[in-house]
Amino acid sequence: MMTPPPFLLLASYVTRDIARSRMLFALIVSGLSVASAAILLTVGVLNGFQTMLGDSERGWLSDIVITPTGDDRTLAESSRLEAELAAMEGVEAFSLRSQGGQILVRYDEKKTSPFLTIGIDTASTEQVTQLPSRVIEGSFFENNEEHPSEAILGKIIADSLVGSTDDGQSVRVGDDLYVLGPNGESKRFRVRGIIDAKTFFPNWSLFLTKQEYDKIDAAGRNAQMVVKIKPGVERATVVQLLQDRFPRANVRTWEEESKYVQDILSAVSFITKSIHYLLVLTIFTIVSVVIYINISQKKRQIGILKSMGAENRFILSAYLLESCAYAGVAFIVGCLIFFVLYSVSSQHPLPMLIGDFRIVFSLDILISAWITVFVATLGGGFIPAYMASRTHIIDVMRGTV
Amino acid sequence: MLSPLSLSPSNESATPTLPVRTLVSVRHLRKEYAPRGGVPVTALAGVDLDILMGEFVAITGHSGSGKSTLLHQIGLLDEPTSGSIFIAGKDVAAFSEAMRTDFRLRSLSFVFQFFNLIEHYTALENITFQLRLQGYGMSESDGKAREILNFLGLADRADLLPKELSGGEQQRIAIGRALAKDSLLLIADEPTAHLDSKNAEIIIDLLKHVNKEFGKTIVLVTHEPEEARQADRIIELRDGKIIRG
Repeated sequence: MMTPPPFLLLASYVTRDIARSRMLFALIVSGLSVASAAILLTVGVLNGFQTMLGDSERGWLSDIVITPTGDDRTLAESSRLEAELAAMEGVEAFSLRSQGGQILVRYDEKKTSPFLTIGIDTASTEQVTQLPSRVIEGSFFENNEEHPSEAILGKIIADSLVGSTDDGQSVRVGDDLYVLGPNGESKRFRVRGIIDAKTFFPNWSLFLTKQEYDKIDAAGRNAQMVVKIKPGVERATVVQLLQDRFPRANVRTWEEESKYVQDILSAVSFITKSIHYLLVLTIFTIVSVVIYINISQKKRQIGILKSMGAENRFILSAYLLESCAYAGVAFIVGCLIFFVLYSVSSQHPLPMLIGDFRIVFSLDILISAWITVFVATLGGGFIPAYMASRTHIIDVMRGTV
Repeated sequence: MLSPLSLSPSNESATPTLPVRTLVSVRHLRKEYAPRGGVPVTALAGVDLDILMGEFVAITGHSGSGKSTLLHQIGLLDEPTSGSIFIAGKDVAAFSEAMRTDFRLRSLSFVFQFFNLIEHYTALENITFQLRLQGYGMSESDGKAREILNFLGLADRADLLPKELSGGEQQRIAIGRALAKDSLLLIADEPTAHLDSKNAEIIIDLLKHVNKEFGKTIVLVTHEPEEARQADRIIELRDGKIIRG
């Protein structure tokens, strides 16, 4: 019975055609696999930066940050805010902080001003932030303990109080330092721990318990509420709800609070996306050139196929399928290259001041890269394949192709 | 008429008692080329021609006489400037491009002067591919292709690639492939042009055999008088006009 040419016939033709020129196939696949790996890598690197910066910032700010408006330094309705947050379904935990910037630290004869001095609520901070796990020397404040006269230093502050920041010398756990508050009173604290939060502000900060802070700087009391929301809860909804209920407070996401992170990510994103689009263009061009050269060399064969009864769509499909075969194999090889790099990056993250950088992989990346590579390949292969399908049999008969 | 795919010689097709039908009818066919900036050339100057069903016709003439142009018109590879071409009762000259393509693909088969086999397919696969394009199943195609190879006397060459075959063998495979295509008309454009005399003779004999045994209508273009004489009828062209036949 006469039926349309089956896909198997098309696949068999393409397979044999590719097998005939193995060296060409190997060269094309090499080029396309490196490009595919690079596409995966650019997305993985961008996501890596996002994750690294996001983790670092969320590590001390959590999901939502609530601060006073205008010149106020204290949240006006902190008790009502705590009550509302405790009753909100989407909120997992929250922690009220005191903080201020007009505090001096003296160690031996050296003085410095931390970017922030933060009064931590020891009972809740562990549930909201990752600060306790970021201690690199000594220990964090114990849960619900008052820790009178004990302080935790950000890594850069600790470094800067002895010699220069990069000479390896630092304040040590157990050392004493003096904290001079805005009221002019000086108090001695013992260093309980050194913290490396892998982000700028906490590493430039001094941490006290909230009770101790409030004694030094009453004006900075209850200056910030950090809120952790439950997984799957729409953050924007919680922000809007809180903002509606507390119009005299600034309710912001951690990204809004740390705008510099967005700036860094925008710059990284611009670079990686530029590379990404150039790679897509590269794949498009490689495939176009390859298929064009391929059909230029095979015009006679295409004419023969047409004289045998192959319709234009058969020729078009054959060369598009050939493009897909290149893309398919190249993408698999590209994935293997990417996974080697991903594996190395996961096992040996790159230590940076702003965090430990590692390439991030997700199924989304794989799917989007797969779609990108195939769209670029099909796009690149279409025009030459269409040209191939228009080959005239008469030219084959004349032997001019 | 028996399908060539049955590969059983048809006594009926050669029987003179069957009604003779005109397969190709060409009337007042003109083809003019107007090269850009050049003098217009008349390749065909009002050709009238009938080819009967089952006939073996040779078109001959000197270089530039218009024989290839006429073949291209009959093969629907080119459009005439004016005139009509009827094939199997259809006015193919009035066809749209898509209809011409479809008709050419379904009703005509070609044998070229360059052997024109698919290089990466074996002799057998070149024929099975043709059958599979027509929609035949894998095993059915294989069986029919082997029958054709037997008919061509090339059964032992089934698994060889074109480059491993002689020119004559390649051209025989090309004829076998054309035979596999269930077409009304086989168009052979100087199929012996690149063969030695012995192989050329084999090819012409094969075409004759195909014509006689299967009743296949064949139009052969050749510049060799000896080959042309093997046909039922010789049509000679000069300056775009038929001067004989």
